[in-house]
Amino acid sequence: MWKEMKSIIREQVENFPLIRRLARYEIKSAHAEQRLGLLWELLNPGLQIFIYWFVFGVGLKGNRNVEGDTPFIVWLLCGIVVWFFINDALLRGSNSINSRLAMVTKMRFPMSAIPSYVILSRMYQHFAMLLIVFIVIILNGIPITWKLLQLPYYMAATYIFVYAFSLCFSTLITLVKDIQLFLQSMMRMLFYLTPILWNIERFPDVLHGVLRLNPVFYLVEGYRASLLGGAWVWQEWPTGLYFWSVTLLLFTAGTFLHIKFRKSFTELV
Amino acid sequence: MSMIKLDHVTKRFDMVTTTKEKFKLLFKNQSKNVKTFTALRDVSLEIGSGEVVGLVGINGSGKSTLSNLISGIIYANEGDVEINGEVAIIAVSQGLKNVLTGRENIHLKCLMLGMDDAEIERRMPGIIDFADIGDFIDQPIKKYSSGMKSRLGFAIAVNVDADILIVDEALSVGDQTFYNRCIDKMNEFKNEGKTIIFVSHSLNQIRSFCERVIWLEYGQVKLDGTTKEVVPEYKKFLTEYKKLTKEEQHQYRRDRLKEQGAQAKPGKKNMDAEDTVKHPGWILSGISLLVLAAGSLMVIDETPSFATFTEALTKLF
Repeated sequence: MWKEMKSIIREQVENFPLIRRLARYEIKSAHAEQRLGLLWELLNPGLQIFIYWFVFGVGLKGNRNVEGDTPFIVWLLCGIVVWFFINDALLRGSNSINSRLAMVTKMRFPMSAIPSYVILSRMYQHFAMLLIVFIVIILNGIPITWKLLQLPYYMAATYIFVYAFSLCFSTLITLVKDIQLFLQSMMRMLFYLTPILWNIERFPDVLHGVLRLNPVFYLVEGYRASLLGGAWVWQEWPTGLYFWSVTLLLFTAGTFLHIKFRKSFTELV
Repeated sequence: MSMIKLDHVTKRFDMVTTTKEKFKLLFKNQSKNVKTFTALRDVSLEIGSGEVVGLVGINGSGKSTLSNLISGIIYANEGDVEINGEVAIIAVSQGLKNVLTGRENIHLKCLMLGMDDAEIERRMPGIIDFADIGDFIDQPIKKYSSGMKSRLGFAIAVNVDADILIVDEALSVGDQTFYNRCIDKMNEFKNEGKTIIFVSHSLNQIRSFCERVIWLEYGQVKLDGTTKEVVPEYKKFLTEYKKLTKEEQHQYRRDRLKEQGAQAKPGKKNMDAEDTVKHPGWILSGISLLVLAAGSLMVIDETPSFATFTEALTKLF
């Protein structure tokens, strides 16, 4: 099993130039037919954030500050920026092999690179949005702390988690198409179970542990901690340990399924 | 030098139809509980460099399966397939993306073959020139006629550096001028010492282009020899076969398959390291335990007392 896992990782490293070029092409071709083109990558999440801010910030909370002196909009942005990436990359990555079967089965192509280039193409939007979040943070006069050094760690953790998940589910979806619909509903549910729109402090203490069983919790809180100055990584070690074991579980199962079925993808079209 | 070597190769396809059966595949090994179709049975052949080989046979004889096996798109269940060099395959259904334009498809296809932008830029004019479909190059593929699609596919395939070229009935949709251009290009390939496999139902095309012909019948090599030997035999078979009624054709097929079953020697089971990936049961359960342990550690760490748990829940709602 270790051998197979190593071979998947090696394929990622060896094919990295190919993955990067295809990711760039993917995002360019997705917006080729639209008048505003790449701008939609920011407009679309921007409009969604506006609605969330309006309903949950202004409407329900009367634009109160969160955790002392952070304006709700900033607090919301820091969490939702990573959620948009996870949601998009996870759903597209999981469907990536299934939706490209007709194309890739006519040629030899490293199958394990398909989810990764689809995920990487979402990274461009993520970087652009992070930049905007930074600007908002600075405009609001929130001090940038040393905790920002943790951001690359949480970004890498997000990427690895999404890849492990997509590797597992891209194979499953090719075999059983229903899973795609199940994933979509699950992600919609997970959005409300993750502290993006609400603050965990408002929940009774006894529920905190249960809410942490959602692996995305670790990432969203991690991003917030890095951007707004919260806890250090090692202070969150139990959640971290749990997160990485879930990721390892997904990657092991994903490797097994991928290697077992990748030779028969062609015949499943 | 032998470019392609097949040694007692057998290819079976699972005849899964329902999603329920596909779901079963997740837990069981293939070919045990599912009905299978044997597309190739005990095929051994060798093709050298610079050879131009025609592949003939009636529908369902395994021509496309054989070309897909050689191009590495599908894998054999039994026996060894040894390929020395890059393979390009041209088939009628090209695996082109319908919403993208011709130019974008060329770009994507080249990217997937591992080229960088500079190299694609360099090859693009040659490919567009060869396809010769005019302004349609900037139109989405869905507006193309079948001839145009085939021309574009052919243009891409011949302009990447392949050592082995497989043409799977792709020339039948082009007109005479394009056909001539393709033949010129293929002759060029031939002179460069590249290997070409030519699948066609047109015996005239085969006769004018190939030196060697392989006749497949129900997944086995019926005859393998020079064009002069094989084509007349195949032609004779075709006229006989056409005279049979549908019932007799079925009967013929059954008889031939029975004969094959009696003769065929099973090749050695394919035991690639990748094929026999062991079920990581104990690893998975080990990590699951870790997940559980870490999870409960977290929950216990955060929860002061489980007695207050339900109380808190009711309070919340």
